[in-house]
Amino acid sequence: MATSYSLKIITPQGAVYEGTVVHTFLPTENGFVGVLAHHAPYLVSSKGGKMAVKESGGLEKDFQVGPGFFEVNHDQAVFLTQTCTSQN
Amino acid sequence: MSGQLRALKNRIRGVESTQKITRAMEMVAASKLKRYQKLREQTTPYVQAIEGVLKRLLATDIPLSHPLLETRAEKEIALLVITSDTGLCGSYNHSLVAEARKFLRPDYKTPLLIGVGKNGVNTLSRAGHVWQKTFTNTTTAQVEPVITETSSLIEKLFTEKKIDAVYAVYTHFTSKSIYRATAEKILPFRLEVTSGGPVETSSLYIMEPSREALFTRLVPLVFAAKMRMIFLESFISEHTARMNAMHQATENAKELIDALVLLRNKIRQAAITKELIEIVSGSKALKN
Repeated sequence: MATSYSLKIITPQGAVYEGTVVHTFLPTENGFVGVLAHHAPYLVSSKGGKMAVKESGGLEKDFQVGPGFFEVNHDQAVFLTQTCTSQN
Repeated sequence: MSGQLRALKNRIRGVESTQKITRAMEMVAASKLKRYQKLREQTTPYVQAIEGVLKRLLATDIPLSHPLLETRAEKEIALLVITSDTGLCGSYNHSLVAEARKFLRPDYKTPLLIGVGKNGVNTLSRAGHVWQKTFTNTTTAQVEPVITETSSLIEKLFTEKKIDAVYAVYTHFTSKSIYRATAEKILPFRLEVTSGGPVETSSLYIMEPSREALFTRLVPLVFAAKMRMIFLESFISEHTARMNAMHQATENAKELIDALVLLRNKIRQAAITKELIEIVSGSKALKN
């Protein structure tokens, strides 16, 4: 589907999440940011907190993430952090 | 004769139980090795991704600076020595200690010593070296805290300018059963931008809050990831070394048992032959 993109959440303990998502809502340093598909290349640091993901299947998932980095480029998004726990 | 035979039987039994122990230790080392290899596999994607981010940040020519990258005259240095807590792993610890001693020559200025693993700590303590901080008897559950604590300690000492450079003596693991003790400068660390594949320039990226701010946050993470890899490689090498050593020991025990069994059979056969000769010559003497 054209309106979705792939997202990976990677920690030193391995990939916590990998999937196709429509929307990612993440805590950056200057407030919350939502990322849709076809986003321009974007690199941002996150202060950690609650991160919400809406999957292409319509399912919504919440994560508690530590400080880290979010990068999106050509519909490939990666969230790098030291800690991440799933809340569902 | 029978006394000798009994002693030999006891010895065979002894070697057999040693063999059982070494075989068990080999298996324990193998399972621990697997666990650390898995950890390393899990860490690799993270390290690669974080290096990717770094690469994009460095893609423009505007230089960036960070306290952890500051090069100073090496007046005070720190040495991190990673050895194992337990022995029976061949030359693993010995080569690490030998590598560490290169820094402890009298003509050098004594470095600040940070030690992980009882073996290296004890050996160098006996030689009269004083440790700044040691981590010994680390259980598998404590591995993560030890890695973070060591990294933050080194980072703190370096940023407070108490030390000007940090070297690590650890075992570099390249591939299956190839490992070697090395000394590597870990701080101030060089940013290796490996030129592999086209890198999109950072001017294309939207960066928030700013390129400099991102860099400041990223460098400690790169350092932490690097430290983690150093520790994991050390542990993998340790268990590979132990596995090999114990495998060798089991093989040696097998050879020894074979030799002893052969000797035992010979002695037993000699005893039987001797008895037969006695009986035959006895009966012959009676007939005459």
